[in-house]
Amino acid sequence: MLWKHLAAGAVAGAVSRTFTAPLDRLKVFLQVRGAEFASLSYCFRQLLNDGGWPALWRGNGINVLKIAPETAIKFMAYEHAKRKIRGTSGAELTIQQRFLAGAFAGVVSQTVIYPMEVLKTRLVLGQTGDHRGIMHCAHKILRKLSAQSSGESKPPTLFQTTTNLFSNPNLQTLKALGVSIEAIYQTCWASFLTLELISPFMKL
Amino acid sequence: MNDEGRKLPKNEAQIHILLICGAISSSCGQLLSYPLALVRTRLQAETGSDNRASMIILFRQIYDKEGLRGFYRGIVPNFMKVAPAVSISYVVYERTRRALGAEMC
Repeated sequence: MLWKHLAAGAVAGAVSRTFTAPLDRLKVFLQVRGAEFASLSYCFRQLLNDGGWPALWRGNGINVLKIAPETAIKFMAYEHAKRKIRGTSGAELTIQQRFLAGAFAGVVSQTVIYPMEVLKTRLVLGQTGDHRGIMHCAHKILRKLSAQSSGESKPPTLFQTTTNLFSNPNLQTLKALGVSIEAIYQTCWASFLTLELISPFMKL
Repeated sequence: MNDEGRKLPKNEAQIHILLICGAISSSCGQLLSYPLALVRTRLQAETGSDNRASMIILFRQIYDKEGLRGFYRGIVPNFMKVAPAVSISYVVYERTRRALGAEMC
């Protein structure tokens, strides 16, 4: 039964994100390069000039792909947190306790899928010709990060790239800090509300 | 939530209220957290010279260069997204759930 609700959630997320993708791309462009654009419509025209109508959906693929892991991890973390808070008492959780569990679930799921978040932002911001696809974009990011942390000029192998990434404390803290604070604010309310709305239907 | 009430069709009206409440609460939450979301997106983008910028440095930079307005760039398309996103999600979720044969209660 649970998988049916998760599947319905994933389909709903995919359709709604696909419908609103042009607005999302506009938002990200204005957030990062807002000072360059005098107005919303000017930014919109620039996007159209760069790649035509299909370009408005750039980055939507990865945005849709990350729904499934995001939702599944959030539900598992929420249930885990509720069990831990409840302990052996078996008492009903208070609203504050469920809020705490929701916040925990949001932080966990956002942290796990964070690399996909970064990929999405890079793809959305890409101009025509920047990326050939999700894997190409991922490879470009890994290569650049690895070159930064090792100082090598020669392109490293995938193994070197991965080990270097994990040994680069600078990048780790930066990303972790950014994601934690943002995740707590933005996702705790959202996940709390969605989980609370859906859980009575699923006999959780 | 009242399980008895859920089965009645007149509860459809309550769903609309629930959706409107959801849209309002999510808008308020986003208004407060938008500057954080903006800084996060900039960190993710790592454009040009601010390659190694930290969150704090970026906050200061935006405030010095663009003032408070700088933290709210892109909020208009963000809010234009809320209503269609909430309603499309709800409709597609309900239809898919029914098509898969999953019960409400």
